[in-house]
Amino acid sequence: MKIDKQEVRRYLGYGKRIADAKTEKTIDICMLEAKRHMHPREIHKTFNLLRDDGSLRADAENLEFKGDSIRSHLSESNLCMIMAATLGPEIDQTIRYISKTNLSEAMIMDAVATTAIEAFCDEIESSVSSEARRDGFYATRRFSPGYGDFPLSVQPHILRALDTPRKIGLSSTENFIMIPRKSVTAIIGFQAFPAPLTQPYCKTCTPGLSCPYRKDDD
Amino acid sequence: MIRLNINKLKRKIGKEFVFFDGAMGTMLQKAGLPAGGLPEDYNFTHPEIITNIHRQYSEAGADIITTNTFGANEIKLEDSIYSVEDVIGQAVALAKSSSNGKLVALDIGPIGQLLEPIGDLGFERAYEIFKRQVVVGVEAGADVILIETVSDLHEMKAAIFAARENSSLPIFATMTFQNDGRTLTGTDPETMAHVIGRLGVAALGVNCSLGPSELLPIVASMSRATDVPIMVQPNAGLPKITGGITSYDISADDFAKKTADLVNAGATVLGGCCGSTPEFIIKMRKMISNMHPVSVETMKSTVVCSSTKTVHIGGDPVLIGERINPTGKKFFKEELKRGSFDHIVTEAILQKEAGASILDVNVGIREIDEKLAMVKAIKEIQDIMDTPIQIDSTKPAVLEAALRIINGKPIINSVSGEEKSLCAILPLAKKYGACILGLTLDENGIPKTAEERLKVAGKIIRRALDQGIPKEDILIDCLVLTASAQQKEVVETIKAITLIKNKYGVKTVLGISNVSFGLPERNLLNGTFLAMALSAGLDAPIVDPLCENIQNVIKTYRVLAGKDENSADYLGSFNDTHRTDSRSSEKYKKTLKEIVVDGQKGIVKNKTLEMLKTMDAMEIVNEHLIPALDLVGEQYEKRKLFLPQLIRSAETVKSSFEILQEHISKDGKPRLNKGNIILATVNGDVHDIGKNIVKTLLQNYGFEILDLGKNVPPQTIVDEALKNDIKLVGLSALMTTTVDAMSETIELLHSRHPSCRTFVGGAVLSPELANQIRADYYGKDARAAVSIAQNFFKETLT
Repeated sequence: MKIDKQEVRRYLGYGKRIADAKTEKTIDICMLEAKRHMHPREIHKTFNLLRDDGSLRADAENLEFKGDSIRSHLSESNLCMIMAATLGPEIDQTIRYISKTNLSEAMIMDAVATTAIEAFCDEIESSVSSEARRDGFYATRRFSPGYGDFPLSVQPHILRALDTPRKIGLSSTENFIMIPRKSVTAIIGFQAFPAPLTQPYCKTCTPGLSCPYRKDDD
Repeated sequence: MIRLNINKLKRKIGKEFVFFDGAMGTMLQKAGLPAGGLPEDYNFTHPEIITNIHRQYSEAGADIITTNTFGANEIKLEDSIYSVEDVIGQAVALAKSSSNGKLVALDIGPIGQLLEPIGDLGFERAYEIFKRQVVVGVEAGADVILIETVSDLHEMKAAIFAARENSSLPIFATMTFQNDGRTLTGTDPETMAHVIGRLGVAALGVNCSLGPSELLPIVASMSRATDVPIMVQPNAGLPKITGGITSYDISADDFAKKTADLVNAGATVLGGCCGSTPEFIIKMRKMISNMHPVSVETMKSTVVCSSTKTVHIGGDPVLIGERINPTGKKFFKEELKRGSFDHIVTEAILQKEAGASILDVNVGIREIDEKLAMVKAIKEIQDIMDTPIQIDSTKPAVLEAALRIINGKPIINSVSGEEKSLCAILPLAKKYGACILGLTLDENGIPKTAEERLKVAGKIIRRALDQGIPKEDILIDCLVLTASAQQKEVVETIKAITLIKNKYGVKTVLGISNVSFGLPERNLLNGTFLAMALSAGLDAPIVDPLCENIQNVIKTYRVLAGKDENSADYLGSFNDTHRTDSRSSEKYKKTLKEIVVDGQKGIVKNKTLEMLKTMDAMEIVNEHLIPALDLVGEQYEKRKLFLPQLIRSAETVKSSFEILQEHISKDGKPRLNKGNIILATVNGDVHDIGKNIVKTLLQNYGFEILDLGKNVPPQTIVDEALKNDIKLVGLSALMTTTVDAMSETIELLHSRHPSCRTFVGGAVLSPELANQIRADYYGKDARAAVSIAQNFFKETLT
């Protein structure tokens, strides 16, 4: 997977700026080093979407999609792909290790890993998208628990439907924190006509303008 | 077909083939189980399907039938209407009723949540979860316990402890490995075999994830590492997903053929996993009906392990780092008394990076609860590195607590030839499958001559063997006396090493530094003594790996003893040294302020020392460090520089500050301390980079921080605040879901420690939310935390 340095800078709060020379160099080193500690694994599966009395659920045990934002995201879909991806526990330990001796490097490594898991998801999403096209559908962008008002509490049900603890070593805590840390779950809708290319994530998200990771930040 | 009873099974296992059944989940999915559905519910809703599957496997020739209880733990059954007791009771009954007299295995799968340090589930909590399953399984009449498809070695340990401490049933333990040859949490087959092989299981091995061909190297690696019978339950090849339906790519015939290869690699307990059916078991049995178990020669080597690494002792010298030991170290003791483990973590990292392969951990000081401190120290080390541990304590209770929590196979330091010690320590080593370090001393102290030490070693070895501890798990330390007081006896230690190795063939360990006690230039003496000991056959010296002279002796010894092939490491280390030299000889003419602003941690120490020659420590803080920090802070607020730079500057100040504190304490003055603060990431939250940033910045401004870490229960925070009389507590949470724990902590603090104030921060918090959960202050970032603390202590002082 290709890690985009510009994204790393964004996670570090630089927006679209180039960082100072030392940070730039550390990002380069971390991008190389991170690869040794990441073990990307993923699983994805299609599910029928069932609508019943205004509720929306996938055709799996206890898998209801609550919240307006996911309902609107999937409003044109009768079928969806649920995906889960993780970089594995080793990169988490690496970040913890570095944070004991060099906090700024740990932060940079953390941003690199975050960029990597997103890049990994981009790849999955794009391959799911082309597969969908072959089957005559258009795929929406991926939508994760925590976006808009899509509650995190759906996490254990998604993980169970995909059997992620067993298949890719991904589970969630009682507080819905995904373990390993650098992991993502998401839903991609399949619909009969093209979905908007970009979702206005930053404009609809709760922290709004105060968010340091904003994509439209200059 | 002959039916096995449990006694026959026990006799037969490892000597003849034993057959388990094949997949349950696959069969249930075929019968209509939906994705994400609980297979365990089928024990009640479709008992006939379950009994039918059992019956088919029984008829196919399985000796042991596995209950439909893979996920029957209290976490996975949380949403089910059935309890653990319901499910296991029913499932065992179904298996017994339909297995036609075959033995029944209580099936236990992974909990489905990850243990610390990867996740937040505590080891003892995991133990309790498994215990509940074991207790009801035993009551229901299961014959054996199968723990399977586990990825985390520590979770496997918890399950095995639960099984053997609450039942006397034979335990079969299999883990699941990926195509990179490791489990999802990084354990390799060799390490698994070494660790689990010592825990008294009937068989250990591998199941699921891969087909029989892919499992071949894994089985081979395990059977080379352990004498314990090897079990294998492969999938029916690799999964293929077509149209949302999973299928597997090999036929029952191929499966059977490839099972024969697994038998040749040493497997004797056989069965199938995902995708296998009764047909697979029939064909497998037929294929190997005229084969015999193959006995593979195991490597009898002395090993210690973390969860992802095995260190072999013997051959190349193995360094055991001695620095995590507070004896004679004032600062270390103070840290332990304060409840701070930062120093231990730093020492662990320094030693690992200096080449220590094993870390000795000793936290024995009178003023603290040694057991708690030992457990915490081990957790902190396991949290960040995979270096195996040597537990160093004189108290059996401390050792046992450590043995439970260690994820791997440690060394116990130590047992002696004294009766009391032998009786207390050896059973622990046996129970937890640890290596034991035997000291050649007894009731009469350290014998003078090598021959007498040989005798004590012999006694320890005999007694350990009697306990069932294998010889390769016994290490002997011949002990050295100080050259200043007992010069004649130094050479007796060297002689004893050779004598003991020749007579008993065990590996030897030796603490080096004691030899030079009371003499000047101790490193010189230590180095020479180390060289003598290595020549005499010492396998694992206990040393300070940061000591250059020790490193030089090891480096040169490895060349001269032919261990460093073509002197490659030796030559390599010279290249490194030259680089370091040229770096350290650079001249830095920057001011301290410039160094802080540029975040040059590497040179700040020398600059600080240089300034201390002409300046007072307080002056350096107030006139140089704080103004530099303020400047960096302002630029950060103006977005002229960014968080990584701010932190780099803060860490630079921290290094300078440490030098200043040392300087002050040398002068006998009290430490700089502008106020004591507790920091913690709340219960259930595992994000701590933000908290660590706040900590560094507060330390920069002279506050003394007691860092309780992450995932900290409210009670612990309150207890520590009360115990240390701390009036300001900073709490961090990153998730909406953990703000509740924050609120709970604040409430408990208010009621039990009313004079204490709290400040909160973290991505999800806002001033409103902080107010709502009754926090006293809200800090939007680390800089805000500093002004909160400054104002708080200004007010409390006036």
